[in-house]
Amino acid sequence: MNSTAKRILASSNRANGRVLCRSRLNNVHRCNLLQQQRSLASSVGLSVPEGFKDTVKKTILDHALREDSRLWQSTGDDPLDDLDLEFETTRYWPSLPPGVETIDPIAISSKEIVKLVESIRDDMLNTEHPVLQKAATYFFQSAADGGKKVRPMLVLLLSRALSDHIATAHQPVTSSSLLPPALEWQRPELPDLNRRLAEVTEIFHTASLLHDDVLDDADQRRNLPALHTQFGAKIAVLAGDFLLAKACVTLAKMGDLRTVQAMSTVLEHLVLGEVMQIRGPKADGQKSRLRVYLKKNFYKTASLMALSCKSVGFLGEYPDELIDVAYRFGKHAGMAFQLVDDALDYEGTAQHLGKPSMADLRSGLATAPVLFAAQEHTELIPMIDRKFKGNGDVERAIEIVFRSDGIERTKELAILHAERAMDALLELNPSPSRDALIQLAYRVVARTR
Amino acid sequence: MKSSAKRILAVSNRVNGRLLCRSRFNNVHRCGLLQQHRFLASSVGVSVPEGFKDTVKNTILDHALREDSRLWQSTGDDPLDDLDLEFETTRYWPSLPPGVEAIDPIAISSKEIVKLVESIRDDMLNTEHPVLQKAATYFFQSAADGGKKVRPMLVLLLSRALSDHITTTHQPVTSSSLLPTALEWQRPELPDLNRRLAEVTEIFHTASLLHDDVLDDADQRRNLPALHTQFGAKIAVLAGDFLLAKACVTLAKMGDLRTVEAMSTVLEHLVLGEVMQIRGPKADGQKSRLRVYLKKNFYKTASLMALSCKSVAFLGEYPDELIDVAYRFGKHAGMAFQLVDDALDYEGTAQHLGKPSMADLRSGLATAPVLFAAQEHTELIPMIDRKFKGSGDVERAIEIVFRSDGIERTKELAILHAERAMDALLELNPSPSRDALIQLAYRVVARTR
Repeated sequence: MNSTAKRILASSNRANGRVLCRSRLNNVHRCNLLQQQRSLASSVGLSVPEGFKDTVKKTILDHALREDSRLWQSTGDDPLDDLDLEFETTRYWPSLPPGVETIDPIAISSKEIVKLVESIRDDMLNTEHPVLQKAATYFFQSAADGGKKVRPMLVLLLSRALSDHIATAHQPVTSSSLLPPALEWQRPELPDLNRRLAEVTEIFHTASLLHDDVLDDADQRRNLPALHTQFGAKIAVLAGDFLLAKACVTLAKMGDLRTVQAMSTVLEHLVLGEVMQIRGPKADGQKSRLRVYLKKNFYKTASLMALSCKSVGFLGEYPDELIDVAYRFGKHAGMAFQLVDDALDYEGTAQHLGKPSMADLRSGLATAPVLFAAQEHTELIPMIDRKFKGNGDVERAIEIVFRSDGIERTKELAILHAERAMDALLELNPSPSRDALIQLAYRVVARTR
Repeated sequence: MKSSAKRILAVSNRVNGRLLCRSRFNNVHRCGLLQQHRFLASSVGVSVPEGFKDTVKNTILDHALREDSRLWQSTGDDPLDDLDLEFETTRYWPSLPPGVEAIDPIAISSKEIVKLVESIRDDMLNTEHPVLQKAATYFFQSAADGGKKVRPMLVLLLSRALSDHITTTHQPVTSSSLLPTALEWQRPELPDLNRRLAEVTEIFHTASLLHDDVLDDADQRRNLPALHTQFGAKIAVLAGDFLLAKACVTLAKMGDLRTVEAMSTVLEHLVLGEVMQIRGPKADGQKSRLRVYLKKNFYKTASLMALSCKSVAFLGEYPDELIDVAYRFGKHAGMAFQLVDDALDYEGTAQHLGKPSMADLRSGLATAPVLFAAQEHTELIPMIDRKFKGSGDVERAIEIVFRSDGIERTKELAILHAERAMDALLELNPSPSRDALIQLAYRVVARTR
């Protein structure tokens, strides 16, 4: 870790530990550093000392983390309550719940999804230039999440499932007629509202990926020329900001305040999740590490799904019980999704390329497999705390994880969350779209990369 | 210009010129480059080719620029209409308009502003740690805009001016009672809504500064170690995202959809302005360069003021004519503000330090002084187009600008905009807060740094 990073972490650690370190030596040392930086900055005609600004920014992030408990009090949710699902056992796996039809979620949503991707492309990206066309295709079918557009799919299918829960006679669900016309009390433009919500959801996700590009440790270790990476950083930030802005305008125009509030909260959660990931686990006990990791997963992944699903409930002006069903479904589906991702990082590509990517480990990230493994193999704990930066840590950790039941337990927790998602849906009256969603939750945990 | 930057600009130029360049050579060349990137990327375990992603991001930005006319059609504004104010002459300067009292805007808003800064600090920044306290103080009294918190001041004073326009008897305006109590038809919590709007405005401004930090041309020339800058980039992005997210949640909670839409549009404009600044002027005629520059100023600076002022009127549920007054005031005040900034960059610190900062010129930015000068001294034009990167360009440009009337004409345009801002306000019934705002517009153009 370079000295600047050390210094910033040190001062933030002091703030966190609430040690008001006023020792002369420390203050003098820091003053000198800042003086040096200030003179560096002013010698090239800049007015703001870099050191100050970094410290301030870091403070903002520290505060973001501390804010955490207040955050959850205000929404009335505590994602910690049930994320580790201790003492639960699977009930349906490896079967579907009884009475659920096997409907292919991709088949019935594919037409709408294609329309959505085109709509985003036509509104957001130019497709006349052949190379750009290729690039746009690549980016919007990112391998990162199987390119399956899970998030918009959830929104679109759920809008149908909620409607069919209410309506006694179901229109046949075909891919040409997925979105239901508005029910009597609903706004007539509801189908379009749902489409736009699905777009906004995917755009939020994409924008966060763009910003994560800047934040990825991988950039630093890539040994690309600094300038190229820096130029890419600015473009990444601007493009992400632009997408976010367009999405926010779209949201506002949809005219539903609860949806605006929910989706704005998503933005906050995405940042919190990223901050938690950068700062690393709060190291006070293995159980605590697992809980923090699960909470981080909620913020980074599940929240967007949970709150966009909830927004489907808002837009359709459904009663509170249904809004809660929507939220619980999205939340647990999202948790399952990320857990499987984390398991596949250790295991997934083994069938295909002969070696797993281990991207998480290599970037110092401790996810469920290694956290579960550490509950029995405590020698992992110091490695986790130093983010696997020690000599040979990565290799040793891999070896221990594969010897342990870490990956197994990760998949099991994923299944438990998927079943919880299914349980939420099973509160809805049977319909093809409801069963398609249940199938989707099933496939999330049944998939290999 | 670095080759990666060249490549990206080349691609975007082709897109802009609508040249569907399919030559074998170009495609092969580009494929070659992309292949190299993909190989590099995959060799360190990252799955997305850097070249593709940069191209896509740049496409997003290109599209952002093209979007421009559509954008303005949807809101019914065209900022190009009246930004260069050709053929106008000043009417009041150097006096205030007749019948306007000399009220000090800072004096009557100072208490609220202090409350605002503290509120942002307490909510956003930790102030227990001594060094962080100093840093927070510095950052929120940034020298960049005189640290005068102009933006929140506009919001708070305007809320009072609009209210006093309606009421026949005015409560005395003291600094302890600036914000008016809600009128009969208004929401009772209106004073708090205005405070929060002022906070959101300042936070948006700060967040955009943080994101702009990610890569200023100045950063490139600072020669700081690449790792430090990248770490700084991460922090800048995250902190900016955090602030933006908090502001968005706050906005949503204020419960006014028109305000959410307006402020989201600000975000879009901030990005557009930054993109226009990065891409440089579209070089087709000197008049066009000036117009593009003025439009960029609108997006980067005036839009936030225009739309936050408009939002004051939204929140107070004022009739459309007053909403328009608010918007026009903010827009022209913002244009004046930025033009004076640009003039002072050439001139301002001369009185204080003996040498102007010329930061704009040095970063390749052509602003009003040099653009006006180029209308007579056409030898400036190639220098402008190559962003003053040629040997001796900066010095020559400085010399020519000071020989010309460029700075004078810049100040004159600023005054014209300030007078337009005053004209908007003069449509309001007289009141101390209205006059304080007129005084504020006056001071914007009367100031030296």
